[in-house]
Amino acid sequence: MIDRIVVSYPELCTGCRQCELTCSYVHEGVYSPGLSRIRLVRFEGEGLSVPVTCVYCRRPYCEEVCPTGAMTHDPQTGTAVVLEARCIGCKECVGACPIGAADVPAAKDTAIRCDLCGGDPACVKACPTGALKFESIGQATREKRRGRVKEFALVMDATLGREER
Amino acid sequence: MVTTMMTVRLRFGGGLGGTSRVEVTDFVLPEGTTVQAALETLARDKGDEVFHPAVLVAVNGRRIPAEECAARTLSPGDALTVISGLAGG
Amino acid sequence: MKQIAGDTLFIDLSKRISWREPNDDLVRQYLGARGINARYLWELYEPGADAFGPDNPLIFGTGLLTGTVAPSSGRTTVTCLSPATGWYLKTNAGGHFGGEMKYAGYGNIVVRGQAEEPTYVWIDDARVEFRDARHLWGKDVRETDRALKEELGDEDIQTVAIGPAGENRVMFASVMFTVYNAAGRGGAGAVMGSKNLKAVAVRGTGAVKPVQPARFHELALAARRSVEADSGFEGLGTYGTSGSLAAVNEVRALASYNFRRSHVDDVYRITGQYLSDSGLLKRRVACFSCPIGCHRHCAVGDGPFAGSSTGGPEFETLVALGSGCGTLDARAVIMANEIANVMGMDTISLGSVIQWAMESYEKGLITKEDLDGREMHWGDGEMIVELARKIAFREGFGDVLADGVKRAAERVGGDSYKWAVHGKGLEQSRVDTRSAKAYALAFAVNPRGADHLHTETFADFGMSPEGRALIEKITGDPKYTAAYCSEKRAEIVRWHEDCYAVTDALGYCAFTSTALYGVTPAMMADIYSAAIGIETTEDEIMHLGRRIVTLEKCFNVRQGATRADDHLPWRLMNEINPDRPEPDAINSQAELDVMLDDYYDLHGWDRATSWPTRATLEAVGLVDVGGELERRGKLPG
Repeated sequence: MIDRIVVSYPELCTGCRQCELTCSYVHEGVYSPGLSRIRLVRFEGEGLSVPVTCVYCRRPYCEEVCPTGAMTHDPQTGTAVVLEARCIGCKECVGACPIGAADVPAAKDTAIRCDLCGGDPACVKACPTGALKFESIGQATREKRRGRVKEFALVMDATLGREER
Repeated sequence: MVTTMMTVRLRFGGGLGGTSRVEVTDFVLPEGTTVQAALETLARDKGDEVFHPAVLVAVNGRRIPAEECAARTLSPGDALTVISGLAGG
Repeated sequence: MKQIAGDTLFIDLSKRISWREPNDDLVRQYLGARGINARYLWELYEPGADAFGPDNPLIFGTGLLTGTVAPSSGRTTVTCLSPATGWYLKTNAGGHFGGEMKYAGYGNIVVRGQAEEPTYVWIDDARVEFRDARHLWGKDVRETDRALKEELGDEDIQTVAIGPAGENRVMFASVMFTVYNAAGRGGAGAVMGSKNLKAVAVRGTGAVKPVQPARFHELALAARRSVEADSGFEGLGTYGTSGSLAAVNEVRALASYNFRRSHVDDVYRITGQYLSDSGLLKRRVACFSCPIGCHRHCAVGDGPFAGSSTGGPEFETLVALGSGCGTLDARAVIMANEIANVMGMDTISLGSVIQWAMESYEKGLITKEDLDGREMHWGDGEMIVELARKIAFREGFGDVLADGVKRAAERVGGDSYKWAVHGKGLEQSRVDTRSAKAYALAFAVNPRGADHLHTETFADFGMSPEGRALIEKITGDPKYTAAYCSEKRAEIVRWHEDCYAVTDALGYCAFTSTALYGVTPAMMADIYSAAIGIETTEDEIMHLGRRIVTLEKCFNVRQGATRADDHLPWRLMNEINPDRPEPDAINSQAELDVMLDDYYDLHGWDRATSWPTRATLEAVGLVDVGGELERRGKLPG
């Protein structure tokens, strides 16, 4: 059902946070990374930043552990839906998600999860470097595979003695 | 009538024409060539990007604005700079 | 308004108490950040108070727009009396601390007093704690950041910290916003060290909300598109600030060999292009909400500087520690930069004192014995790295250099003052002002000293079509877009002062408005209106910028500044630029005097003293400031 998701390319991420700010605004009407459905994992001292968001597991544990059925999905499109009136903020979903893409922010008390903005993710449009793409995982995998091979070719070059100029 | 030629030091690159460095080469031109004419000659080889508004054109370290290029004549031994001018500081 | 402006947090390190006050009036009068900081400094600093004493307030102010999606809008200003110069100091940094501060609910943080023992302040939303930092004292900036994150159990908190340089009161110690951003100039880090304040850590879980959210968001997106449409946008992101080294070199403005040269033959090896081509550049790093992403992370894999890995190097650093020292070696610069970053020192001043020392050694005023048996030559990258460490710890000759180039020259004596390249006691930015006259005027009048971060008259070079259009708009004629022309410079500098003050106060990066030109004062007025819900025109916001600039000048007037203090370094005023040996390639007193006269006239300041007149202070809304200056005999006429 879900074909395309938000795929991140951390090597292109500069850590600017435009994705987080845009997401929180689009969904909550304010600017607050804590309320964003996409989060940057930042290594401040090293200038590294990795975007993390829902990868749309085929078998979403977050939905299975939810005691009230608040964490669910649209039966037609498959995109995430949080029935806020039912959510009791128990945080079982937070614990269940293997990558930390579900959250119950302090400022909200009910759960949040990426809903792909109805098919046109705002974070992808906001990213200035192309570190976020809205693409099918199959396509993403093929591109990553190719990228890795290219990287390997550079490593081979270096190993075979091409020095820094 | 024989055209007398002169040699000007061309300083080109800094991002233009796929050249990262500023490459210094001899540029042989007819005596009395204007900066504008020199750019046109250069464009035949390096393309029209030499006329881009963000390109720095200077003679002996002084920037020549676009509107002055047609009037400014080059002398033998002049340094003609044509490089990409980027921002920041 | 509170949900975008934040409150002011007052911290008293002597009494270990804190309290907060709303900001609304100050936002309407001084916009935010630098503007509000300036007002606090005026009110809380008593002339005569020791820069290293409890009564020199250290004030952090983040932009009014900080925390929002407005492009490149998260910058923070640090304000105090400079221990290096004795004059007004505002210094500014990007990074991400400002955003977190605003989410915690604060627009400004005023730190007063002096802690008895090394201390750090932990701000956890509304809760403020004074915590023991004795175990952190002596640690470098990177170590401190890591230690705080571990101790406080949260990898996502933000910190500002000083390194050993600040602890040792090096006169150009910086307040580091991690190793990618420095509130670098003027010795704010030494002030923080004198307060025994090792760091401030903050966590903010709140939200920022403009008064008119939908309109604000539209304007923010439009501002971003405008910045991205500037001709310099892509180059600045791809190559960083170091992308313009080659161009500045071509127009004979690249300060080299302590300003004895303004052009080097093969600059490529210290340009941004080289950092990319060579693989020394590992990744790009962006500040809060910035689509430009001009910061660098570079690392060195081989050679004598292998293992170095740090933020930078920026344009100024590559010139100050590179061509300025005769070192056309990016790897040496990266390592020296790393030491500056982790020890917490300003790279411009660091490079400047080292260059001065190299020239003094060459001329026999400093000897091998002074340098603990070490020789010193132009271009010696290893010596530069060694000296950087010694300066941070005030070891050996490092102790002399740690006091800055003006005091070092006074100590060493002889003719060494002639090549101490500073204005008002602040080491000059690495632009050869003999080839750039708007910069020359801007440097001479900058309240904190001779540098470009009061105006950023990059348009002076005329290299950017948008910059040229701006100069034409200000002066009415494209012929004034020539850097060696000294006419109309007062108009150019004044416009830039006002625009830059508004830029800083809103939290915008100067690169959005005065290096790229995507954010105009009109756009700043619009987005400010949407932020606070009060309609403000371009004229009105530039007027507020004018008020901030004037208040900063008044602070210096109260400190005893006169026209004589608006000067440039001896070398640039007395020696013709050797790489462009033309009669106008000098910052002569005569030429400076003409520009200063124009500048003071334009501002409504007295020509003889440089002091703002009573009428000017009334017009700009600083009547009470005028009253105090009058009581001190500092009003002209």
